[in-house]
Amino acid sequence: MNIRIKTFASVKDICGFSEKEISIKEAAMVKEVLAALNKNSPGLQEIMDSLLFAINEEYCTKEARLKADDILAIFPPVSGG
Amino acid sequence: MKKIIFQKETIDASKIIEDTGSESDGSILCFIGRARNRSRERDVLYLEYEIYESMAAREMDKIVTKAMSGWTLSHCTVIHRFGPVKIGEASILISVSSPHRNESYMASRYIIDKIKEKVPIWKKEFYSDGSVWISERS
Repeated sequence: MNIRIKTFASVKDICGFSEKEISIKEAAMVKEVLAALNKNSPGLQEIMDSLLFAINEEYCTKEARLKADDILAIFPPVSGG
Repeated sequence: MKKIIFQKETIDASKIIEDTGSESDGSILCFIGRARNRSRERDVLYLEYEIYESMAAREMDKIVTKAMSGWTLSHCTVIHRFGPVKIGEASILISVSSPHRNESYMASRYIIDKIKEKVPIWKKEFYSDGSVWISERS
């Protein structure tokens, strides 16, 4: 199945893209997508523990499972204000 | 009445304050967060904010809705900048009104604290020799 990944701030810089579609196995967990991304973007490992995730604009955990056409956002702690 | 705005343009604080509140409000409180020229012992030239706008709008709405149901606010406007922000300019403005001051103070503090925790917006500081994404809460 396909999902879209969006990245922001330092995660975007490390991954080298702001948005892309990827193919993953059915009901894969967020952490499995991260492991795959980490292979191409090793810099991600350094900030892995602080990362935040959202599926379809709602915060989720690394253990959340993905569905086809979901939008998974990966980003560092927020710093607005 | 609530208003949530994300904009690139500078914030006209006096216009927002003028538009906040009704005749039943004894209190209008306006918090302005500004870009400062020193941070982490370095001179800052300017800031840039990146935003996940659609999610930021949802998260901001949750925060403002909760504030308005938790305290007796008649009006709440939150404006956050994105893109470049010059030193001294407002990056955020929160304007609330209520019959009495305590509700305004409590709600305004709640809103800014929750924005810094939940709303997907990121600040980048630019120095003469580079730039850094700011991740820790401050």
